[in-house]
Amino acid sequence: MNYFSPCHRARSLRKTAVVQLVGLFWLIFSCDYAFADRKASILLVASKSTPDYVAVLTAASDQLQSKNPRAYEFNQRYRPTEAELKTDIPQADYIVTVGTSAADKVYSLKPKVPVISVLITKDAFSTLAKKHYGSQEAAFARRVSSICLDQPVTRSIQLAKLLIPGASDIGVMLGPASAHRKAWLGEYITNSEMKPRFVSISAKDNPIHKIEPVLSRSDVFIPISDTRLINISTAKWILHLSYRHKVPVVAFSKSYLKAGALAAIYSSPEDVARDTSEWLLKPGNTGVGGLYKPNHYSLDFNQSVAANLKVQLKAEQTYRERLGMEVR
Amino acid sequence: MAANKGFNSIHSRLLITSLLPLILLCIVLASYMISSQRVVLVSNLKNVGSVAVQQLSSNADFALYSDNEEMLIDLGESVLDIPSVKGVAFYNFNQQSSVTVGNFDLSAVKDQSKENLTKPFYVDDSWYFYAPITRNGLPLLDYDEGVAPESEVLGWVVVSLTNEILVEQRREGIFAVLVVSTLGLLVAAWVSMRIGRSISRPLENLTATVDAMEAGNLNLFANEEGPHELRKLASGINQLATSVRQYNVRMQSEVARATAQLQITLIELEDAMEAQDQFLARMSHELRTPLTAVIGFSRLLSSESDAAKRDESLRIISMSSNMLLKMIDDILEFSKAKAGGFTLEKVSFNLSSWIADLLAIHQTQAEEKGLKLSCRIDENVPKLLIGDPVRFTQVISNLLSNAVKFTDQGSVSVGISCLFHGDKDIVLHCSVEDTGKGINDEKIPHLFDPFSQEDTSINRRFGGAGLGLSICKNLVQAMGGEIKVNSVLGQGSEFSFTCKLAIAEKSESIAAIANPAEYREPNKTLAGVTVLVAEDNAFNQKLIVRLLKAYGATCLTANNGLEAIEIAENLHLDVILMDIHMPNIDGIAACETIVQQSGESPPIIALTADVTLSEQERITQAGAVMTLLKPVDESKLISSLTQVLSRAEGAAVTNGTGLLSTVVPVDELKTALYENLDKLVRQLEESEHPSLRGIIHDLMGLSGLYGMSQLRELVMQFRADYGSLNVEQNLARIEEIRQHIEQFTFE
Repeated sequence: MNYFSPCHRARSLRKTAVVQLVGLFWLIFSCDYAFADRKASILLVASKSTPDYVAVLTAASDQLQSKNPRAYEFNQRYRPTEAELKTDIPQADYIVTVGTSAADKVYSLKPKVPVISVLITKDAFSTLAKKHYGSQEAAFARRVSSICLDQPVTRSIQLAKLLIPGASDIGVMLGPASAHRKAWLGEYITNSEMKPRFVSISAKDNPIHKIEPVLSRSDVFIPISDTRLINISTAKWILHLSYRHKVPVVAFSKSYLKAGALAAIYSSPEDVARDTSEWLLKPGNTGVGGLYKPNHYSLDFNQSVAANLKVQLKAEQTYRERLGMEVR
Repeated sequence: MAANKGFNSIHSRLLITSLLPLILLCIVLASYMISSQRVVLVSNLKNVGSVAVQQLSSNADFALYSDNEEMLIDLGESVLDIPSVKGVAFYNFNQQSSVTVGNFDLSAVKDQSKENLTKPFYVDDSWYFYAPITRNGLPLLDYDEGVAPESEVLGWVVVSLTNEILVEQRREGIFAVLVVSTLGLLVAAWVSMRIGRSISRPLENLTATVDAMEAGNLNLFANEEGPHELRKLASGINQLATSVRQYNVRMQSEVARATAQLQITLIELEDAMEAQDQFLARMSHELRTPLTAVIGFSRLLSSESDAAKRDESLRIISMSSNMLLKMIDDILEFSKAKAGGFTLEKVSFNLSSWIADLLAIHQTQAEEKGLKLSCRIDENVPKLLIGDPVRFTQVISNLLSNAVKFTDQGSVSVGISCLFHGDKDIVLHCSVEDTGKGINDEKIPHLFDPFSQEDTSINRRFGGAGLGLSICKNLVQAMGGEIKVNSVLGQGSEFSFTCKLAIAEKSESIAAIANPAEYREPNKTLAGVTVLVAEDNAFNQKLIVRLLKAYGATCLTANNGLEAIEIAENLHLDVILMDIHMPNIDGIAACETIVQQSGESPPIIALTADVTLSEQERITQAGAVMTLLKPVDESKLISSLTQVLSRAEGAAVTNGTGLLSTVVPVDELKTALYENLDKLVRQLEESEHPSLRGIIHDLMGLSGLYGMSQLRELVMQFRADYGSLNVEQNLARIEEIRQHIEQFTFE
């Protein structure tokens, strides 16, 4: 099955829209029915009280409040203690964890109400699920869900193609956590009429020695978000080699973009908040949990890098319109 | 000495004071600058090394991590352009030198453990700077909650910097500092010298000016230059010099004036000395001349048997003696005048009476020369005046004597008129006019000077000490008037004077005495008069007796006061001549006793050689009516006797036969007597210490003049008793006298 054919993509989009619409109506009615007498209590637990985390909580609350002002009541907690959580969790109908640390604390108490975790990477969620529930499936069974932070790599590949239309070789760095995706990525890149050049990095490797041969022969390079260690230890050299060999990098975070990448697709606090509110409004979210990709994303460019690499950038909306919705 | 002076000069001290701190300041500043420069240079070197090694360490991580030798060489060469950088060495984690660039001595640092190096170190004229080359991961994850990974040391980079450039820069810096310091010092020294000179030069000029002024050159002026204080000082010195100069001029002027005054005084002194010499010579001559005559004719007298010649010798001896006496009187008067010894009495006196007596005295001499002697008193001149009649008549007597003396033919006339007639005072104008030879105009200004005579021939011809007019002038001035002379040579002279006198109350003018010759003949003056001569000196007693007998008087003698008292008590006497200094009872006691005797006592004329005022006061208080100074002048003695007898004569006759009783109405006499009685009453009633003696004296004189012997006795009794009576008793006595006067009539 070709997930990326235009026909299939349109059909899929329609189906999704119908399902969401129906779900939304059901949610409205059910909520009206369920909370006819009382409001739904949503406990928002953040790992930090930095502006990004505050923005996520505030935006999510605002969005829900704007949908139905009388339906929800919010309890926001920043870096709460275990005791506070023990007090707050029994009062909550939903728990939203923002950040890895918040998820870790909430999972440890194994709440019985639905839990949605945001601002957490897929790898981190997987690790925490195994840590507290034994596996992801077990966590899902306890109505624990997550909208992971990682944007679909296909969007980065599409963006790279749009940015460097003449690119033929695309370098992709894979770490231990993303190595299993090498096959379908190769297929996807090939389907995108480009030649994939993969470099797999382990914690013991000299990143320069491993990356430089691949990057130096690529027209554009895409580091795939992996474990934190791999991400941190390789980023500096990727950007350094990018600078030396004048190869643009399409990154997965805004910090990467600022450090020297040409462009980045990432989840902003508003994107996360919107995904969160959508999930909370989604009918059936009280059932078995699941791991969800982010529906919303942000696109940004480093104009200085683009100028140095002589890349002609177009309006953001142009790229956004041409990026497909289909993701894997 | 010169060096010492130079050091002590203010210029040198100013120079040292200003230069020494400047030199020290320059040395300190230069040292500080050199030291600071060294610190700065070392600091700069260290900064260069630190910056270079940090730059290399931050950029060499990739090359060292990738073991890229070429990149390391490129990096090392990139800092070799810095002048001080000599070489660069990169070490890997195992401290194995992987790359060296430039002139880097590895042996110098081979023993250094790079891990412990935190500061640069210095070996063999080179500085070495170390820095670790680390690998740091970038925080490229959004919403990263993990702990940042620790940095990993990849190796070290060592930068070697040569010290030679630092030494060279220090040398250049020291040289620059020394040059700048030297220049600054020179400029400061020049400025100091200029400032010092600007202060010291005006001071030196001032010092030179002051030295010159000390040497006496006060015409110099100090230049007002230099600082404000010195200009002010110079201005002060100039003002001081000007003051001293003006003071000197003033002093010289005063010295010149004093010298001139001294010269004048010296001339005056010389003149005085000369005048004194002349006076002594003249006095010697004047005294010797009559004395010689007296001595010579006295000798001749003893051997002369011819009566005519003896008379002639006696006449000459008498004349010479009178001359001597007159001269001594004049000298005494003059001395008294010079000593301010004129004491003017203020007694009521009858002017015409005193003038008449005076004319009588000079009548004889005038007649001897064939001169007509006349007197005119204006009608408006009051009859009774208050003043000193003795001094007043003395002036006229002197002038009259001179007029008779210097007039050979013609007349001498006395005139008295009234210049000013007030209610209480009157100013008289008295003149003595003669038809004599006149006075040379040139001599007139010195006519009233003492010992002055028109020429020496006058002295030889007429005698005299030349003091008469001088005495007159002094007397007139004492009486508040002035004397002057108007003379035409060959025609005559007129001496006149003014005199201020008080007017006795209710006085009236008296008629002029037209013919003084109506008075008794002088040679008959003492005929029938009994005179007691009380004199212990036998010679003087005999002289006076012979003299009085020559005037027709009958003389009794007493050798002491006691005898005089006895004689006066037992015998009738018209007058007593009483010597004051006598054995047993002196003249004063005798006078007092005689006056206090019952009955009418004769008038007493005291004779004394004591010219003091106190003596004369005692005599007057004792009751003497007059005092004559010894040796007794014949004419004065006769005139005094005549005067006293004329007042007392009435006592021997019946009432109304007094001297003026025929020419003065009785009412006028009573009026004058009442006035004196009123004065007595007022004195007694108003004054705590009444002065009655003068009034009583006038009462006695008036009673004598008019022959009122009983009245005179009452008055004398009152004079003797009033001191022991109270006011009421005295007033009763006065009332008794007043009743006696009222009952008195001329028969």
